[in-house]
Amino acid sequence: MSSQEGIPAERKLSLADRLGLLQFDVDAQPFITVDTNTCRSCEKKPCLYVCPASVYRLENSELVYNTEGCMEMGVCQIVCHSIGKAAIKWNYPRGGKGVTFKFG
Amino acid sequence: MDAEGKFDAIVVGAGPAGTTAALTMARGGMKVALLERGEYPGAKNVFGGVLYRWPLEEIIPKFWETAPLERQIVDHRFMVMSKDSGLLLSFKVDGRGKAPYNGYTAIRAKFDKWYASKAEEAGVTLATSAVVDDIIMKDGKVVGVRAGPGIENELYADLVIAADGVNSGLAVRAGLREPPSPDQVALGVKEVVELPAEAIEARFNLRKGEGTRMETMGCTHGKMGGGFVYTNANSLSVGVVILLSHLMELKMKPYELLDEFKAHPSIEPFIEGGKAKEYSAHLIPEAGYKGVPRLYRDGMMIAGDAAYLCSYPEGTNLAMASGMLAGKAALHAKKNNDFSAKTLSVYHEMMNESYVIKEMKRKDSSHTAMLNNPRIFGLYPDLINEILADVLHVNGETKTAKHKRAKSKFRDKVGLLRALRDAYSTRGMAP
Repeated sequence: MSSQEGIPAERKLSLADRLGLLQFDVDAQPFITVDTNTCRSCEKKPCLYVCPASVYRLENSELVYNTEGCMEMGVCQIVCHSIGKAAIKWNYPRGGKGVTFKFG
Repeated sequence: MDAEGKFDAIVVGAGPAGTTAALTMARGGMKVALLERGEYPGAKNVFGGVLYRWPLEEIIPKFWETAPLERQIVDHRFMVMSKDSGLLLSFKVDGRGKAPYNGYTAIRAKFDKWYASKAEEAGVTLATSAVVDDIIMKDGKVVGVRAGPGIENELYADLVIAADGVNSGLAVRAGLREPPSPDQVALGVKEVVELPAEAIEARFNLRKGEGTRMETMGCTHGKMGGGFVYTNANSLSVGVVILLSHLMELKMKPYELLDEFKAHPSIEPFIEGGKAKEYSAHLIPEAGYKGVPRLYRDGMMIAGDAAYLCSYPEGTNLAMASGMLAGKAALHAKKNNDFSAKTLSVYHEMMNESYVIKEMKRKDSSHTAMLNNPRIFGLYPDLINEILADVLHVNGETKTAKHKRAKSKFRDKVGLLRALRDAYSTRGMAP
């Protein structure tokens, strides 16, 4: 999923457009784990709106997450432990895996 | 390395702080391993900013002749925005024949790679794709790092320098600090928009090779933060930064703020016709001087973002300065063959005497005042724009009436005393 040519910048980009510009080497080993049972009792769910890659979503009122797209800033864990239920355990992907920025 | 193949020092993170520390130690004759979790140095690094000549020039004299740099900054712009207008101030210096310049834009994927190669030339052993999971402790002293399960992933040294970024799992595990809290970090999102060099120079009124840094306020719904546009050689870095705790109150997605910023009438003409080439996000230390943790313990020091040594709009220069002083402290420890906290405390002493800590200390109370003052990022930008829109609009109504209206708006919404108090309490944030 890479758009090497770029996308007209004045257009409103979708998140899929944006993540499509990035290069990911997906780590098959989970580097984010979420105790989604705990999430059921979490009213605030700040992970749903702070993540710049929207890794976290609700599906049939259940929290689901897809680490592909993760830009490894760890913000989900910070907010989850701050006003959520401390259900997210975030780590770096294994060496060389995950996102690679060509500009940065 | 001694006879058993042990390194004198392990540096974790090949960003500006880690690479500077490694380079300083290697030049002083120490055997240094530099571990980077990305595929290459810079692969995980993001900034929206300027590389200043200080202190890089002290580390690599005439770096501007060989480093991959984008544009020399001659134009500093500040914009106070409302939803649909903007007041722009530009301070521009005569850059003709004035090299070397005070600051340059850079693409981190290129610059960090180049910078780490300089450390390698000085004898540093660089390992990429190497994630460090933990520090190894023995008798209360840090003695090495663990890069995965099993004894084969253990690496020992007299000293570990953690330059592993704002989250710094290593500083946390060493008990030097806690994980970031939402009021200690800002979240930045940015896009790199490709444009021909000539278009950039025409749009920003620049000569060939010259660059603009533009910071804006008033684009974060009254929350602490702002927008930026930096000119690279053939692209613009366009982004928005917001304090994480304020983003949590706002409940907006970070990229929605970026959408608004890019669509703003004062920003959109800069990027029109360009191609978005990369989207990225990063956490930026925003903890102020009071957030700076203890910088050392037995067998270990921390530098750069890992120690929250970042103070808007400066970061990479503070990281390099701290890396250099950590490196010097390490050489002092090596000379005495003593890597105890007592010996490494020289790092803390040198830091206290440095620009880094002095500047952060100077700004600290203003930083706190800004954090807790909702007028700065919302009311004032809106009011300034509202008054200018009214006063500059010619419609047959006298300026006397418009000025009167402006005065009463200012009095009703702010008041002179409060405005003076706000200005005084945030004076340390002046450029």
